[in-house]
Amino acid sequence: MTNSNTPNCNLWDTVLLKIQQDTTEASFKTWFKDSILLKQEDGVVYIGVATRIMRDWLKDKYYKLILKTIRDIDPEIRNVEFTVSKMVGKKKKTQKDQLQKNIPTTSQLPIDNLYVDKNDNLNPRYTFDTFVVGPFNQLANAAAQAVLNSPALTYNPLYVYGSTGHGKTHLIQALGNKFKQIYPSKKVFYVSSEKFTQDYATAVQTGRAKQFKDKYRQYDVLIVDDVQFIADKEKTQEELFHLFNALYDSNKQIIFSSDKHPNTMKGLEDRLRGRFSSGMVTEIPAPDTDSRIAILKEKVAAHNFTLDTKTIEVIAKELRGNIRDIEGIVNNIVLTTQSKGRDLRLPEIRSIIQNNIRPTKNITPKDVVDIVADYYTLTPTIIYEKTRKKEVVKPRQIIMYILREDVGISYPTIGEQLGGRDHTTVIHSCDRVRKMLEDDFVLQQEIDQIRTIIRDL
Amino acid sequence: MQTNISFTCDKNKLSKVVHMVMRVANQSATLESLQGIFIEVVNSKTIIKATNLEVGIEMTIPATDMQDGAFLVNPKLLIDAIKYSDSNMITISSKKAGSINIKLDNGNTIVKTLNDSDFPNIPKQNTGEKLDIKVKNIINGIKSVLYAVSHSVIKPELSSLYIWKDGQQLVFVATDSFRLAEKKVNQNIINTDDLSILIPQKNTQDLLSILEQLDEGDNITVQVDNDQFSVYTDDMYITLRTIDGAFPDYQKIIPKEAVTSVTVLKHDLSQIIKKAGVFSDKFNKITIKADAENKLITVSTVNGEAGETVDSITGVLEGETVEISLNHRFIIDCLQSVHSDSVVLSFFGQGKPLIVSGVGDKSFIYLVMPMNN
Repeated sequence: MTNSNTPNCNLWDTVLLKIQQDTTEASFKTWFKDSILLKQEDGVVYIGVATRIMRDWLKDKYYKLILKTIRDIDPEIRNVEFTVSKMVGKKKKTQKDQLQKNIPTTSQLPIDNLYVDKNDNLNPRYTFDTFVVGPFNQLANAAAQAVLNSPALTYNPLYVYGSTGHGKTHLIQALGNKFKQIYPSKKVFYVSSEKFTQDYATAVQTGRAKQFKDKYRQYDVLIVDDVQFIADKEKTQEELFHLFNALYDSNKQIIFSSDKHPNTMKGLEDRLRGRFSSGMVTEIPAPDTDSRIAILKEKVAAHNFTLDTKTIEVIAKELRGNIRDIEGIVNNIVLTTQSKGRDLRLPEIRSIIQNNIRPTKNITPKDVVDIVADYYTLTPTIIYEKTRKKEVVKPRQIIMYILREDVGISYPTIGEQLGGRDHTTVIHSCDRVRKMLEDDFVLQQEIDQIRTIIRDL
Repeated sequence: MQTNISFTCDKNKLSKVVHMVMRVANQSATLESLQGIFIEVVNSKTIIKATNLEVGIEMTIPATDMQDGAFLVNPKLLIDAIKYSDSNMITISSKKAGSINIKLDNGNTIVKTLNDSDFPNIPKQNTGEKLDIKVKNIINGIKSVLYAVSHSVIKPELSSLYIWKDGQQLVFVATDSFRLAEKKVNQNIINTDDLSILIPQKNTQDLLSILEQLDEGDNITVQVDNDQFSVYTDDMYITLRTIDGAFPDYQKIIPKEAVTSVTVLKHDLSQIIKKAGVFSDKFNKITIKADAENKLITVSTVNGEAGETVDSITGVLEGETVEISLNHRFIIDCLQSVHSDSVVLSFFGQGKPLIVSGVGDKSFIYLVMPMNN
């Protein structure tokens, strides 16, 4: 129902109230209770009922009473029409019903993708209602809301990036679903870049490239997920480039997600890189502890299950990063609790977490040096040399900082590995980076991006 | 409503028709008029009707000495009132409002009637395409899949039976999002229009219970339009409310390339699954393993309270060893819909569905999702 109809709904509610006084309770419950006001147009009120039997009955028996009651309230109205409406009964769905769906919590898996809408590929499961907003994704969420408020005007394209399991797909799918809801007449389409590539290849092979072009150019909002997979696929990139221009020029919203910043994506043509960065580029970094707690609570509630605050805090502290891992742990805890038939003790939960965390990859100082040097377009060897050139000092300090903070190597070892430096130098460097991070936004971003690259090693 | 009604008919026929019609009446309805069955003589026809607003039924019975009029009566009371008599003919008439007189043999019974002022008209369907279908085929189609309908109220399209037309076949589909059943019924449909409807589970159940009273070989006409689904013969008319909604594009989700496929005797499979069911936990979980090395199908289950059991049967097996856990009830549910002696189980790997079908029978396919290990 659109907002413009809300005052009219009150009209029907008032009518119902009066009719309730004029009929028996049984009649009222049977014939009137589920009726709704569909619209009011040119002095005609359209009432929706559930079945044809009801429609005929109201028309035959209650027409006069209803019309009279309505006209007492609004004399402008000339007529009442009854129609069988599929809207009837739908509005009764409340959040409580939604929750009930989860009551028989078993480990039974649902059929994959059953609910995916065939017209737009969106999975209705992803909504903003279930999207936890915390400091880590505040910016991305705000950008998404801005897109909803003025599509194709504020941020076009919207480019969301972040490591796997940080909620990119959830955000962009929720954006698509919300968009559909706000602008029912607009066409939204969600596609993974992999599917896009396949589609394009099939279209070319079967000589249907024209249909392919037409199909994608008809959408008002195009969402391309995991766009990094088109790296090194020149033809697809070219097609995406042209599609981008066509949509952009006709003021259509385009949304991308990727695991990397456009600038750090390899195998991407420069003109496409430029297009990707031309709107809003926003990152979803790893969730902070508070957000992890909020997400955990949400996931636990989705199972209709409760965990005490202490346990949630423990899990949130031990599990870093990936939301998908959090989901896995929650599933596991729910399942174990069910099979044991009692609440789990803390050590048991700890052991579940231990068994489920993926072993962290061994990152060597050399890896970090290579990545950071590459990021700042330096040759790795220069890092190890005793040069104090400004261009080298900063990356070197960042390397030390990352080795200390993320890899957890001791100060003396870091010094040793980076060309035999004293451990006090390393301590000083790390402190310096920490200080700079406090107010240097560019540096924050650079380090975040470097961390993304390291994670994907 | 006028009450000078009178008609004479065959008692057994009346009793049979009342039995069929009363399935639709809702004896706990808030509105008294919906609790009973409505008997009407009009245009030299004796018609018995009932509706619960979702489903409406009208049946005509042969009668003589008819005089126009109508009344509404509690069907159970009517049946009980005429049950204890060997007489074949019965005359029902009404001399004053609020009751009817029943004449059987030499007895005279007076039965109180219900308030019929709110008994609605059952809508007649004039639009929509018509199909002639064998009763047997409709029953078969419905029964093969109805158990898989969702009982949740959240997704009306999943708590409904989906019927659509694929070429010359009618396809019946139901899913509760954990399993999905599809039955194709050959019907040599000539019409070319598309057909696609969703009938709520409850309405389908009502229809089924009425159709099961009919002769299997009979033909009935089905008519469908936007919000009604009607079925009729010369002396019967049933109309059901359908719902609007998009049934999932389910054909996409049925996987094609099986990792392992197993053919076993239906009876053997049913036995070991039922046995395992005895020992399954409260989630009905059993484990099925297709053992490629020994060409065995092993079903096992462990229950902390009841015990555990392992059973194996031999079968024809192609592919690799695979093991999945699932709800044993989901399998038992579908076996009654497989009409061949042997069933094919197709596995698609861990966390992927299992597909059950009959050997050499493409008309029925059943997809069930496993449980997490």
